[in-house]
Amino acid sequence: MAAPESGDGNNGAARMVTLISSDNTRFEVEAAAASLSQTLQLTILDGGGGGGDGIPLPNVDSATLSKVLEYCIKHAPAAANGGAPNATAVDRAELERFDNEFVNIDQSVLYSLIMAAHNLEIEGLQSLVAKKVADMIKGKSPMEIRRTLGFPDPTPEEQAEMNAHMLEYGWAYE
Amino acid sequence: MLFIECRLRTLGLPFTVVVTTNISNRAGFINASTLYLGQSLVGRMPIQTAQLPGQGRRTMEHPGTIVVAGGDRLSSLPDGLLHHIMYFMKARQVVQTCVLSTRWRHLWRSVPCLDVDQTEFETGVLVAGLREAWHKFEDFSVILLGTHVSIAHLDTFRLRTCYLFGASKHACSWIRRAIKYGAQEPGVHQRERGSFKPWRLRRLHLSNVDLEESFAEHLRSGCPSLEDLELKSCTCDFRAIASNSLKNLSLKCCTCKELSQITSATLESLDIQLRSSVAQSGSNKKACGPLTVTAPALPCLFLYVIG
Repeated sequence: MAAPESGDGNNGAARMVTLISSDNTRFEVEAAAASLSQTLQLTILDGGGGGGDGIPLPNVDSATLSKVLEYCIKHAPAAANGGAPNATAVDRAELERFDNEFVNIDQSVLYSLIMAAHNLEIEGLQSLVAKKVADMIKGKSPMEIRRTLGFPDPTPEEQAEMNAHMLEYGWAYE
Repeated sequence: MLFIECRLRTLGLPFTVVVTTNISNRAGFINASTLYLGQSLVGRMPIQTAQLPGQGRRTMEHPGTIVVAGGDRLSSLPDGLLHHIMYFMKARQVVQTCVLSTRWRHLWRSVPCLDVDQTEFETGVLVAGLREAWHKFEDFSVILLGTHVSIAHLDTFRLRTCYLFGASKHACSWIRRAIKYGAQEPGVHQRERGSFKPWRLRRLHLSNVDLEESFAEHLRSGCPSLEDLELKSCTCDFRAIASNSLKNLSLKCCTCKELSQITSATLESLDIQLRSSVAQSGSNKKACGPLTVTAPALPCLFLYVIG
């Protein structure tokens, strides 16, 4: 089946937009990739971000933004196909492989990413990171979770409180 | 894009399916007033076209405020994001997060999505182990749904039980109670006068649950926001599924002895894989009546009936 909607005013080179991170680094990226962000989409549709202007993102630092854009660039083609009903199994497997590798990173980066995805309204990225964090928690005892997530060691008072809660919620710990 | 896929394997049973759905897609490809699908169908399937009203899609909302706690960075995320993480966890683990720290103490109580799943309690395949798992699961579910969380206030609810120990009947009573007393604060079981209060649910997935007429009645009048309903291996003792909001309906491996009508003006996707009750009733075979689907907005249908 041929996709009828390929000539959407895109003559030749794809339109580029500039995003500016909180630490003033400029990122030039295809408008289609940046539009994965619901927040940016409207600005871009209004013609913003082109030329020398750039769209400032005061809540996202450059390290996080480059990671976010890596995700957007990879997912933009599938998103342009409307959730990829035409995508082949190979394409989907490749995206899945990319996603798995993509979130195989330091926890602090994960939390920066999920905040950025939340602020920029990139639903796919937010879900991807949320699922990764949930997978880190799954099947672990509270103490194991605390250790995995880097909670500080509990004080004796906190430990006593934890024990009391585990008794109170015994029905969830059987 | 319109596509229709129908497969019927009736094994010579007197099972008739009549789909009188008014199908039209946005591009208006189909204008014929009647389409007959597939020679192998026992019943003919007239499909008429009609106009469908446009429906906007809602995305998941994440309300919440930023509360910064010392120590770990995860805890400094807004409630909405921590709830999104909980969305990917099963109910027991969600409740267990309450002991992590004071920041997490009450987070689980306001979680918008719950996945209550018996497999979370199973540790082995021996019957004794399964029985023990069932008892733990039953206690957990009764306490959770009876005193802590109200299904009525959730956005998404999933419930899955196992096939042993009459679990599906117990689950039936949890749903019935949630309908009867559901919209009140958790733990309050005061019966209100008049009709039952509506649920806020958008997504409901039930697996291996017996469902009664009161459930169908509640779908009709008590779930004004329900968009996504999936029933899997459920026994459905009701005649009709009707809704003014449902977009996706999936009935998989369900036993529907009396189901004769599915009606939803907003339905966009229908996936039916029914077990004909005729096969269940042994020598006492009785013909099933026709199943009438009225869904003017339906662009996609998957139908599969096993005798």
